[in-house]
Amino acid sequence: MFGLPAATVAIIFGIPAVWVLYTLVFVYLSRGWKAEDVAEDRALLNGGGGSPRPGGDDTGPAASANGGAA
Amino acid sequence: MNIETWFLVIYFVAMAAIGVATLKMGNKDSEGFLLGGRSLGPAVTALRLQSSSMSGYMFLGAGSLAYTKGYFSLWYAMGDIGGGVLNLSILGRRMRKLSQILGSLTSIEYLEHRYPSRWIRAIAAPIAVACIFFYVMTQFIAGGRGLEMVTGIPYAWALLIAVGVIVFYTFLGGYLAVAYTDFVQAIIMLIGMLWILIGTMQAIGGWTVGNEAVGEINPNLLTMWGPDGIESVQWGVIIGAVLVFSIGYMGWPHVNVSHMAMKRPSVARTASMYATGFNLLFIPAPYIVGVMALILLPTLDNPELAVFQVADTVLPDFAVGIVMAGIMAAIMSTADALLLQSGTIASQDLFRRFVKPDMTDRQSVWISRFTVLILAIIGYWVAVNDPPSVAEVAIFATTVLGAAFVPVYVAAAWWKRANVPGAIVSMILGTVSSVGWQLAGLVDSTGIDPMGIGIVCSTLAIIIVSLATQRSHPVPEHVLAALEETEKIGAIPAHLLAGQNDALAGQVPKGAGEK
Repeated sequence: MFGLPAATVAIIFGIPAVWVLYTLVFVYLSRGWKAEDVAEDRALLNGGGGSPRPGGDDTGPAASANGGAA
Repeated sequence: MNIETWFLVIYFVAMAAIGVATLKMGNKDSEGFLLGGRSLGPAVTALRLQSSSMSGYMFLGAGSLAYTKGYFSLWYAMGDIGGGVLNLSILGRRMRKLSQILGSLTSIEYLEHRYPSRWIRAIAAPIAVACIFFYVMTQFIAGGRGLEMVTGIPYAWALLIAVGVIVFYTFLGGYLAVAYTDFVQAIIMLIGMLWILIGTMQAIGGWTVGNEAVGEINPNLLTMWGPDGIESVQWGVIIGAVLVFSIGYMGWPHVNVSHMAMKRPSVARTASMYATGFNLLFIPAPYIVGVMALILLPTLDNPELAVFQVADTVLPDFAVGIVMAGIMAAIMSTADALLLQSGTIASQDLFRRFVKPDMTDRQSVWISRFTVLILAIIGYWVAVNDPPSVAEVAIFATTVLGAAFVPVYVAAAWWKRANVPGAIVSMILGTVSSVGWQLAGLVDSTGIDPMGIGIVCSTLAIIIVSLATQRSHPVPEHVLAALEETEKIGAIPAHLLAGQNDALAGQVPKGAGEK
């Protein structure tokens, strides 16, 4: 294919495909991260608690770990 | 003035304009100047990360490698394509959140806050600033040479112009200027490179025809085993090429600072898609153009000029100007990030930490700017009088950075037992082993890359020493609390941010760092 040996084709298309797959898996596993944005927005609306401002609501929803995505 | 030069002038003016535009936004305080006020979204984060990782090497070195080694050179691209997503997925969210809890403004300060000891910064800062200085100098030289090649301006003046533009917008707007110019430059790099690739394919009659012609020169050039065939392949070099280019970025302070400047920790998720998309389009192109240059320019004297000479051959004049702007973009986007980072390390991590702890944010910003200027002058002086080999110095500097810092950055975010002695020994051993391996000439005799050796040594060091010293040097409670909070998904509780101040927010409790 493309005038290249089969091994070359397999490597130069296969490894990038692995990285694409890795990216998709990462995006899927980290889908819960949106909850963090919601929690931050809520904390800010409640008068500056949570990040980035100290001194406000200290009860932001802190869910369990994210399944190992990061 | 030819049309190529006009394109470069427009490009330089545009970059300087971005510096002016970000002036008011970027210099309010240290966080504004050094991290752009932690305001960057996924697109800017991803493209800034990628463009500052990819220097002029992508246009000069990658083409040269492909011209001399054929498809074997694509091993480097194979690791490189995943470098962005690997960095963002492993470090991105956690480093952003942890750095905010600890109140860190620089990527070296972050290390001291995570591993509370002044020795961490005293060791990390000089290693980083020395490597970054040498690396930025190579970018100055490459920029000067590129400008000289296109415009015909004498090297000394071309170098002065290239350094002047970079310093101008770095000096003005700080991180925000660097981030936005890097974002624009990443797009210019992509357009320029894809234009060359398409022009090359049209000129040779398609990829298949081109490959068949290359195969007639030497069939081994079409394989992944090098021009001498599979019998002479060095597996250590191949494994090193894939792994080092994918994981090495996680040790570069000027790249990792991108994580700390993200608007939210979750930006890392979307940024990873941009990074992988950009890499898939951009990274293989210069290597393929370099291979095809064997047909278009079979008697090239200097392989480093392969990509540029192909562009000059297959593209119209105005397009060459745009492509040249792309080459300058690759060089400048790395140089500005390096320059800002070295200025930051000198002002925040050395001057503020060890000389004048009570200085104001405003003074800190000005010291950073002054340092940028001084480093640029020294860099210019060395580059104009006795320019070293760009490729050798750049590879050496990035090798040491990767070997010294990858394990400490990864362990900082992921391993609660990583402690001060482990981090110190890891950085020292990573540096000494990679430098020693290179200077002793063991690369040729063993076929093993010095970064590979360095990372193995520094990784083993942080694991063994941290475990051995857990009782005498436990990780402080406030760091453990920050790490536990980093694992959770949610807003950072206020009490974890309450102890912060503008200078050394994470240095609590007092005295914890004096071990």
